[in-house]
Order: sequence, then C-alpha cells, then structure tokens
Amino acid sequence: MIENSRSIDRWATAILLCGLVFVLTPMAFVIVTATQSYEEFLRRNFSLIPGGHFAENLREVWTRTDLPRQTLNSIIVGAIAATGRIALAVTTSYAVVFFTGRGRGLVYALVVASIMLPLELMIITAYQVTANVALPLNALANAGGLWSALAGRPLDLQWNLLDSYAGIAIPLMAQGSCTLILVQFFRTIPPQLARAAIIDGAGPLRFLWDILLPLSKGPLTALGIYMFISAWIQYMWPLVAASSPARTMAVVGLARLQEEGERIPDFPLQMTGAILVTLPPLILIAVFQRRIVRGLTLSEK
Amino acid sequence: MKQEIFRARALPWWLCAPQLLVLFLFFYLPIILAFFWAFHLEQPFGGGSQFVGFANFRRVLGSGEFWSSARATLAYMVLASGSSVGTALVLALAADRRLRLSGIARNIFLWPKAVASASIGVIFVFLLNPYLGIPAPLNEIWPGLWNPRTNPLHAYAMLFVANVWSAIPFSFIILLAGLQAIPEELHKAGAIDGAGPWRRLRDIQLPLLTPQLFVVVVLEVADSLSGSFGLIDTMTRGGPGGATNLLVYKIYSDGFKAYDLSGAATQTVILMALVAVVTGAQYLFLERRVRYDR
Amino acid sequence: MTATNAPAAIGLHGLRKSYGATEVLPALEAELRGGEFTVILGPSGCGKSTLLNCIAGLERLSAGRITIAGREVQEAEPKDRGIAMVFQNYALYPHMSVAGNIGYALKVARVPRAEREARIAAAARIVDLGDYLHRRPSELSGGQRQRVAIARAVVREPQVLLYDEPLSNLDAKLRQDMRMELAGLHRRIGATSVFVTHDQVEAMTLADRIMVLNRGRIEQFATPQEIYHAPATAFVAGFIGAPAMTLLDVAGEGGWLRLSDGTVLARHRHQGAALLGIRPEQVLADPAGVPARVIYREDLGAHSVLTLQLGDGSRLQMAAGPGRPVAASSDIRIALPAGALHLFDPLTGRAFARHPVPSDAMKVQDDAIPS
Repeated sequence: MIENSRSIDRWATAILLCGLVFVLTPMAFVIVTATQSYEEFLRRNFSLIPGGHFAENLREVWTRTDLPRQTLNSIIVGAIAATGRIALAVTTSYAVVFFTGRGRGLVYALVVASIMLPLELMIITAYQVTANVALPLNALANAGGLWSALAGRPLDLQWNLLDSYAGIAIPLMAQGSCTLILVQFFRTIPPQLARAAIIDGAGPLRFLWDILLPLSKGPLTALGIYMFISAWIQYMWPLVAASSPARTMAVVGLARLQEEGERIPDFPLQMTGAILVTLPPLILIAVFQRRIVRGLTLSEK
Repeated sequence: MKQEIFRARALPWWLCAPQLLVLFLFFYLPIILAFFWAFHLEQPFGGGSQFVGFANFRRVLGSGEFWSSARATLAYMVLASGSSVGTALVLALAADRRLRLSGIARNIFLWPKAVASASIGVIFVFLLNPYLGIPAPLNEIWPGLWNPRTNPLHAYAMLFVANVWSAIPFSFIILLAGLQAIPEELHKAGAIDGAGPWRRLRDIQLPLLTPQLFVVVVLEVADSLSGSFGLIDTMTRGGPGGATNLLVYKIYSDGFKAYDLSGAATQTVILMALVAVVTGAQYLFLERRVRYDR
Repeated sequence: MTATNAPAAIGLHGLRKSYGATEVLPALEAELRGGEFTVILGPSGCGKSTLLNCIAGLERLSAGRITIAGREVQEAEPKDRGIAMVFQNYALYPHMSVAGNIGYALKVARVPRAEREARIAAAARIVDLGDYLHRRPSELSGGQRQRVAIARAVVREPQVLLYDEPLSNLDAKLRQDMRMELAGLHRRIGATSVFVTHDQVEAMTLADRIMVLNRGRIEQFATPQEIYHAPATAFVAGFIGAPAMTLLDVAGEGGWLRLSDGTVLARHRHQGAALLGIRPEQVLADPAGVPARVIYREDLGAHSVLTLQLGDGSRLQMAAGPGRPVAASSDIRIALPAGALHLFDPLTGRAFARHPVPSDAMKVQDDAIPS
C-alpha cells in the first residue's frame, strides 16, 4: 500500500492461503469420501483417492434415507422463516425510523435485546410455549380465578404448534438482527424523500409500498437469502420442535444418519448426505456473496 | 433521523405489533416462563405448579455436575469466541491488503456459513476420527496420540476447531468491512508521522476497529453457545465422561431426556445471567473506547 | 517556533509515474527552491496529487529521482524525508485527542514526554488551538480541524511542508482566513512548502511560484505575475483569471489580425494562423472599434461581465466598469489594445516568442505595442 511492503504482502498472502486451506480441506475430504463405496472405504480406510461411486451413493441417499423429503421441509421452513423475518423487520423498522412518538426507542430496544440471547438458551420454555400458544391467554384469564368465577372452571385453551411448519418457523423469527440492519439502512434514506412523497399526496403506507420497498430491493433480497440460510442451518430448534419424520428438517436428518447402528459408520453415505444438505445454501452464498456482504455490512457504515 | 416525518398515532403501533407479538411469544414469554419454573415445582401427573422459593436453585447449585458444567460453559464461551474472532481478525487484516488472493478469499471465507453446526459436527467427527480420519496414520505410529473419545482435551480441541471453522464468515465480513471503512488518508498520515505498518496496526487500525470488534465479540459469545449444541450433539454427546457437557447441552438432556422441567428452567436462568454478565463485561471493557465519530 | 532547519530545495529529475499502461507523470523536471512556497495548480486528474504523494513517499516512482536538500530520497520511507503533510480531509486520528494527534509523530519517534508536551503546546499556539488540546477531532469545526492538521505538520519542524488541497473542504469565508494564516505561517517558519490545489485564487495569493500542471506536464512554472501576464501556453491562459482569457482563432496578415470572416480585430505583425488571447478586463469600448453584439450580461456589482458575439460567430468576454450599464442584445464596438494581446501557436498551444519577459506587468503592454 504505502511503503515498500513486499514482505508484509508475502506474509498476508501466506495467511490467506492458510485460511483457504483450513476452510477448503474439510470440504475436499467430504467430496472425496462421498465418491467412495462403503467396501472401498472399509478396505482402504481414510484415503484421498476419489472413487467412482458418487452416483451410487447419491441414489442410496435418495432411496434409503428420508433426506429428500427433509430437504423439501428445509426449503419450506427456510422460505417461511425468511419471508416472515423480512416482513416483520420491514414494518417495525419503518415505524421506528419514519414515525415519532413515545415508545419508539423502547420498541427498538426490546427488539434488539433479542439478539443477545439465542433461542437455544431458552429451548425448554420455548418448547412449552409452542406446545400451547394459548398459554398466555389462559394465564391472563385465570389470573385471580377470574374465569372460574365467570364460567365455572379455569380457561384451558389448547393450541399446539409443535410438529407443524409454522411451529418450526415462527420461533425462528423471534430474533431482531434483521430489524437492526434494516433500521440502519432506512436511516440512510434521506427524509426529504418522504417529505416529497407527502407533498405528492402519498400517505405513509403508500410511501412504504411505492417508494421505500422498491428502494430497498437490493438489501432486502440479500437479507432474505441470508435469513433463508440461517433457518436452513438451524439444528436444535427443529430437533425438538418436529418429532415426526414428516416435519424433520434436513440437517437434523443428516445428524440422524450417524445413529444407524453399524459398527463402522457408513461414512461415504453420510458425506454424500452432507453434500446434499449443504449444497443449496452453499450455492446461494457463493453466487450472492457480494450482495450478502453489502446487505450485512449496512449496519456498519 | 431527528425530525418526525409522518404524524400518525395508531399506525406505527400496528406496524410494530406483529414483530412484538412474535417476540413476546417466543422470546420474552420463554424467559418469563424460565423464571417462573425456576421458582416453582411441577406437580407430578400434570397437576399444575407449586411455589418452592429458592429450593430449585439450592438443588442445582448443590450439584457438582452443575458446577463443572457451568465452569466448562464459561471457559468455552470465552475461549471459543476469542479464538474465532482472533482467527477472523487475522484473516480480515490479511484480506484488507488488496492482494490478488483477496477476492477469492472474500468469497470462500463465507462458505462455512452454509454449513450447519450439526453438519460440521458430522463432518469433523469423521475427519478427526482417530482410526478412520486424518489422524489415523499418526495414531498407528504413536497409539493414543489423538483420541477425542477418551481424552477431554482432545474433545475440546475438536470442538474449538469446528467452532472456529464455522464462525469465520460472520466475523470476517464485519471486521473486513470495518477495516475498509478506515480512510486511506489515515494510513498515509500515519506513515508520514513515522509509524510503520505494525505500529499503524496497533495505533490506528485496531482502535478504529473497536466498534466492529465489539459487535463481533458480543454476537460470537451468543453464537458460540447456540452453535455448541449442534457440535456437541454430533461430536461428543457431552463426553468423554461429561467433560463437554456444557450447560446448553445439559439443559436439553435434563429437560427433554430426564423431564426435569424445574431443574432445566433454573439452569436456563443461570445460563442467561451468565451470558448477560459476559456481554456486560465486554460492554464495559470495549464500549468505553468506542465513543467517537468517524 | 522559528525555522530550525535550513530551507531545503526539492529537485525533481526525470520523474515518471505510471499505473499499469496509464502514464500519469511523464518525465517531469523541476527545481523547487529552498524556503519557497510553491503551488502546484491544475485541473482534477492532471497528476498534481500524484506528484505530491511521490514527493511525500506515499507512492513509489516508476522512474527518476527526487532530491530534498541535495539528498536523494526516492527510496526513503516518508518519515525519513524530513517532510510533513496536511491532507484534504484533515486525516485526523478520530480516536485521539487534539494533543494526541499533534504529538503522534513525536511519540512514534520516542521524543521524551516533557519535550513532547512543550512542542505540542508550541505548535498549538502557532495555530491558536491552545484551548482545545483535550478535545476529540469530532468536537471541532472544520476550520479547527484543519488547524490541528497544520499543527500536526509543523510540530515536527519539517524541512518541507506538503499541502494536499487543504482548504477545499472549508467554506468561502473560512478559506480566505486560512489563506491569510497559511501565508503568515509560511513567513514565520520558513519551511519549503508545496501546496496542491485546483483553485487559482489560492495559487495566486499564496505562491512564490506556481507550477501549472496539465496531463502530467508542466505548462509553466513561474511567479503568479508572470503566469497571469505572460502565460506560456494557451492552457495556462485559459486556466488563470476569473473570468479566464478569451481565446479566438485568428490569422495574421500584413500587420493585421483577422477573424475567419475577414473582420479586422487588431493591429499585430504576426503572420499566419494563431490563437489570440485577451483578458476580459483589457477589452475596451471604442466607438471606432470592431462591432460586437452583447448576448449575455452578468452584473456583479463592482463590474459586469459581457459575453459578446463577433462577426464570425465566435465569442468574447469583456469586463465593463460599473458606470456604463450595457443592455443585453445591444450592439457595441470594442477595441483590443495591441499591448494586451497574447498569441499562441494553434497547433502546440505555446506562446509565440514575444519580447523578453519583463518582470513588471505594465511593461508588457508598452513593449508589446508594434512599432
């Protein structure tokens, strides 16, 4: 950059190379192993020589495991969670940035606070809530024995969301990072734009729909892709929220392949499954890398 | 934005309502419930709850298993976030030098983001398998050199490596963006003031990167904990001998396997307090240096 | 603070800088005298900032030599060249106090704390910043930030002070004040100064000598008076002056200069095609002169600027005094005094040889009148 920095650049290149090797080596081994047959693998143990059995392994994953079905589940849950998070974040950020009034700061703080404590930490009680979403209604109605006095017995509504797409996806939306990023982005939009819209006779919702959303298309798609991937790679919540194979997500299904009771696990099959489960989000990231980075770093500028 | 733009009373609340509802149900309500169960005992056979004061805390804090798990969790939080942020920082500093490799690196360093922690676990447990993985040849020469199934240190090493691998993307993006936002003229001014590249790193780049470092460290603490479940469940299952039974995993087994709702809720409260304390400590340590405008 | 170092001359010898195939500075030769205030002036993209960065050592030369005080420095690190620099965007370290910013170079150089503090205080006094030493740059106004940047430069008592468009971020009033202060500062500390700008007012007011740069080449390197009154090329003529000199395509024949439609403009003994330059303020109204039509008029209070159209359609600017309002679209007659004419080669843009360049502006007119 400034001084004669060839030696520093050489070090930096070496560091980058080490990083690339570190990131790519596991992927390379996964791919190589996925091309070997189980017999080959048992005979040669761990080896770097690719075999010719990838198609075979893939067919086996496709027919013998639930991964195809589970991949579809991941796509559905990912799409619901990503769209939901974006929609919630857009309306909230819009209210926070473009409206005044008491409580605006409090709302923002309540939303952003949720970034610090991930769902995984409160898994037990989140499970309880999802098992009966009407829980707070019951609690409210029964406070002080009110409902019993009116209806003769305590209110006991039941609304179980476990094992449904909504029950898996909606709790994943209860996280404020998307809102944080969008608020930063909306703050970069000149307020004169909204004033011009008011003068042109557009109301707040009209402005949101006709001007703000089209303007935010780039960041929104980037965020959407990122949130889709974030939902796809969830493990703990889908593991507890979906008990039937019909709703299990792909990552959970992959981990379950480990549990098949063979003495020496069928690693080629597992690695083929890992490829299947990882490839969709990986392609999204590799293709949309620039957009995703720009979308995520909005909050840093 | 200082001035108000739209004047409407009800509309902003309607706009915020959906997110607040979701947050209430699946973020704040679980926290409240955790506190509720931490002070109550579930009646057997579904008969409601009974207030027991601090009995649950006494029970949890009296168990040696909890203390070893809590210590391990704290150590893991600090070491895992430290090692992953450190790695990402070094990579970001290197990529910031606009080398020929930087472009490719910027793309490939994001790839681990596509791999779920559980998938990483499945992959690394195979790669680092003492008899079938990369260390197999070495283990044949020196038996017992590497065995994460019996040696707790090896088990932790495996978790850390997998955690660093998976945590590179996010920290790398944020830190690199922060480095690139430092105006070129500050480097020039530093060079003219006589500061070489290392001195500039210490006196200019790192101080100006504190806002990003702060964000990354705080989020990495939360992330390392939530990601630890997927890694532990697929790699060590808390073993060997309970050595990697971090609180996140222990709460899961106590609640879902042993059906001890109150015990699990009590530990949830303690874990959340632990995260709050660690985050707060970083806040005090880092945030105070962050106050300046670019 | 007084000048502790002898003023250092800067020599630029065959200085070449290219980025890949793009040559920004093709073989530049110049000698900047010690203690002189040199302004490098040119439009954006002319290579002036690149040249300054090369002198500072922030960019490597592709070829050539740079000497400061007789010492070859092109391989030396910036800190070893005895230079200091003031940047366009101030480039203050946002996380350090004003004192920290000013003293950073001393700290890096391991100057003992007591001496450091004394020098910081002295530098702050030079630019009137004594009360602000403990503030952060973000708490200062633009003008104050620029003072900090200047203090940071002078605290090192450099042999050479480099300025990279330091005033361009300030508003007009502040800019004028800072110009005065910079001139005063230069008188006091006497270091050789190199100042890059695209603003001709800054160049005219600050410079001992101006180096006019165009596409990496030196068009003229001379005192402001010479640059103004005897531009060496058509580019310099068109760049300096507000409004700038008008340039007309003319042909000289038999002691007269004519426009392409044959209109006689002025007396001159030049033969053949030429670019005729004349400053708006030297165009005179003359009832017996060349007919012209006023197509646009800007009244600036003290004077007005008329845009005139001549017989062949070419345009000419004329500055008229306040007493003689002339309506737009009226016809007037003008005269171009022979002494005010500048003739340039239409192919190379170089001025045709005139009489030996006089040092006094008035003499230009006298000498240039054809006999």
